[in-house]
Amino acid sequence: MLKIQNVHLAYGPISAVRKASIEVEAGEVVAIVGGNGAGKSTLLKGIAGLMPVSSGQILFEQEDVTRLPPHRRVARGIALSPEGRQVFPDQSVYDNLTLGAYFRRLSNDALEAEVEEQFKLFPRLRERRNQMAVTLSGGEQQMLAIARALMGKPRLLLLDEPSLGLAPKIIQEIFDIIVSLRRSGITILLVEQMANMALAIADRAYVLETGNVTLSGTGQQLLHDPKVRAAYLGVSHGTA
Amino acid sequence: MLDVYLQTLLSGLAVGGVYALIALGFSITFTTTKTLNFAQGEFISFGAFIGVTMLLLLSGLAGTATAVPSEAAAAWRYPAAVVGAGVVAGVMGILIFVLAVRPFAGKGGMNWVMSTIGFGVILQSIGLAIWGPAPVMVPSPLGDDVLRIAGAGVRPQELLVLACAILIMIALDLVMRRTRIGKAMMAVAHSPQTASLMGINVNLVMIGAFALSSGLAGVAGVLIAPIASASLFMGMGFALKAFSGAIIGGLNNPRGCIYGGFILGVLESGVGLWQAQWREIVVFGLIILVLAFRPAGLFGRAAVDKV
Repeated sequence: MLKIQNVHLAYGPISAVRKASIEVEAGEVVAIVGGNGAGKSTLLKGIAGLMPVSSGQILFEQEDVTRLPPHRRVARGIALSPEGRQVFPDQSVYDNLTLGAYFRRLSNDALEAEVEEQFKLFPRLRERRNQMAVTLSGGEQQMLAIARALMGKPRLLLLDEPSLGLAPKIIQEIFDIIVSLRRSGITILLVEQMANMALAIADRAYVLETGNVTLSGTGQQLLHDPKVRAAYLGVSHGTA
Repeated sequence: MLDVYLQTLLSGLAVGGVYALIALGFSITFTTTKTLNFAQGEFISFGAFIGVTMLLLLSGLAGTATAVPSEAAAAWRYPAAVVGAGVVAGVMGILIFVLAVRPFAGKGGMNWVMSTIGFGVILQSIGLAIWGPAPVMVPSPLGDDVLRIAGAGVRPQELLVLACAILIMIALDLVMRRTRIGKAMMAVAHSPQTASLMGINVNLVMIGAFALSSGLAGVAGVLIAPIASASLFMGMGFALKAFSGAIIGGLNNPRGCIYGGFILGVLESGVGLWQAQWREIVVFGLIILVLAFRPAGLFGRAAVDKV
């Protein structure tokens, strides 16, 4: 479904991702794990179109999307729930959700029905329907960010650090939702510092270190890989 | 005495309404693109002259004159000139965005400041070549007979300006808060990147913001022309005052900019009643004072949390 070939991403003269090649098959949950500053979020930004790719190619459903602007990639079916959630703070929960479906030009009734679907998945958002997003807790904002991305009816959902800054109980809730999304047929590419949790639910995973893909395998393989355990799981185990 | 105050208040509100329209324009481009159109003054002047030309042509007269006869502004011609000036200025706004702003926007640096000022200088020269430097008297579509309201003498054009300004601003406020395109603009204002993740064509929204902002300046030019008379040098002063109004109100808050414009107009007219020669000194002294205590403007921060 998604094929990234030798993609290079840079902030000015500084390379953030070097010759990364990653594949995601339809229906999979693929995790990208790695430390702080490894280039995980940058890679997702490149896939979503928020950052220009300096070399390499991004294929989505056999079509080259490398040079498409972000709003056209969303229309093709790639949605990103960005790092730090980035909900629109001065708009209501409902308006945030409808913005997620902006490009689909739905009627008000159809929008209402789709928002209702998201409320079924995220019941907490229903209670906050008319509240400004800025008044939500971090966990609720994360749910809103994911629900907003889902409003675009993506075939590929990119999740950037959904656990960031959240309490363990909330993180568990978010990961339960990711698992249920996978069951509904959405393909997911998940970037996480909580390597153990991400690997536990991932079909396959890649390890990114200072901009290079250094390891790949099934979630279970990496979960039991001594190098991965030493580098990432030892650190994150206590907090997860 | 009361009638004099009322008269001062009304003419202050009328000029303030024009400031508010232009200030709103500054706010629209600033919130969506983080840039300002420093040629806004020339857009006001151009708007006035496009209005003049339309009034003349629609009445079957030659396109230039030193005064527009009063029957030329009668009936449907004045509204047509207002709309026409708004549309032409809006198209010019798209041009300035594409040619002078987009190449520099979001890249850091202040190149867009120079390029928009330069665009304005070019516009003014073109305007002088077409219409010449002399001011043109423009009649009010409502005539020039002074109306008496509770003893206060008010020019009908002042009431028209005020009514138009308020109507336009209410309409825009509703569009921004109630419609999908308005919410998309608010999303771009908050974060162009995140807005693009919603499938919003950010570039198109920014072009629309410049068209809208410039269109407002053009409309303001035609509205104020019967009061100030049309001149290619009139726009600068209005744009500067409107910009001050926007700063006082808080550039990032469209409603604040509207209040700022009105505050400035009334203040100016009030000080003028007391000592005309002190007007500018007091007005700009107060602006500096306000900014010293409220750097984000009077409505800058508070409204962002509330909206």
